[in-house]
Amino acid sequence: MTDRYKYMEDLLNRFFSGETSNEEERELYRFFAGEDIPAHLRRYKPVFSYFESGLEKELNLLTGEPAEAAEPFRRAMPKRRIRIAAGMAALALILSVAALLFLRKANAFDPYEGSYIVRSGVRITDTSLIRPEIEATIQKALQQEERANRLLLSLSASNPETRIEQIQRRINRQNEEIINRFPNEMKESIRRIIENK
Amino acid sequence: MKTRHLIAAAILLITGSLSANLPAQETLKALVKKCESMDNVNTSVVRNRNKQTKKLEKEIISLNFSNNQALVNEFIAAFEKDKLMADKEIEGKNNGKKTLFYRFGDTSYSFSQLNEGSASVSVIQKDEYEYEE
Repeated sequence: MTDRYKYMEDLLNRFFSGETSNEEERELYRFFAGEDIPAHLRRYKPVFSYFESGLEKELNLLTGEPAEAAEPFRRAMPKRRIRIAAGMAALALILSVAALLFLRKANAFDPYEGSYIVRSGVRITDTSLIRPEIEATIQKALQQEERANRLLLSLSASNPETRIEQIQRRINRQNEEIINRFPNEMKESIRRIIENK
Repeated sequence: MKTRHLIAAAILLITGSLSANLPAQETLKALVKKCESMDNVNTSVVRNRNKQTKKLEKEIISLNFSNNQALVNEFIAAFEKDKLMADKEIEGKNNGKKTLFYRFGDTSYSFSQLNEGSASVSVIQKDEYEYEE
């Protein structure tokens, strides 16, 4: 190791005398760029750091060339990639939120949507608030209808309506619909005509 | 054939085509609509949709009112007026209180007189009604 340090000291003296070749100077730069530098040579480390990079930058500034022309390109690439990645992440986030909202809406399907109650003239449309009333109304109405259906069945069993009676009822219904199309003062005349009186 | 019959036939043909979609229960329907905007009538309108198809399956309108004998009479008169158009009807009376049930196609109307001036009315409209013939 001592021989190497002596060689470096010799090289250093020749460098300051301006006698070193390019290869020898590169050897010096490599040596001072490393960590294994003896204490008495460490003071030259900043000098060679300057010769290696600072001087080149100053020369480039003097000649008007951009310092380390390739570096901006190398640095720009990661930034661009970061921007693209950030954009993709934002897009993924927006899509996820939209999907979440859509799923929540689909899952939150309210079968009673559009239902409402009116109490003392106040209309309440929030189905989550009026759900007990909604369910009570359904129960009550279905019970009423069931009772009526049972009665209808028992009535039709004891007194079945003939097919002719059913047809006659439908004709009467259609006639009434026609009569109702006319003004009140004409209804009686139309009824007499239809019933052939 | 008398001219009068020919005119009648023409009128029937023209108006028959126009009246095809007329509601059979127009008096009752109008009265229920009127009640929905009355402050002293408790109204519940329930729209029930199918969970799978999300289609409206049933609409139930329930009206309750008290201290309004005029409205009770109005309902009884409306039922009477639309009676002829009903497919099925049941009329009952218990202790002087009237109970009515009329069915018009896919819609049924129930009326129960509770006390003096009090009554309960239900209208059920189904998307597809199963007829019992």
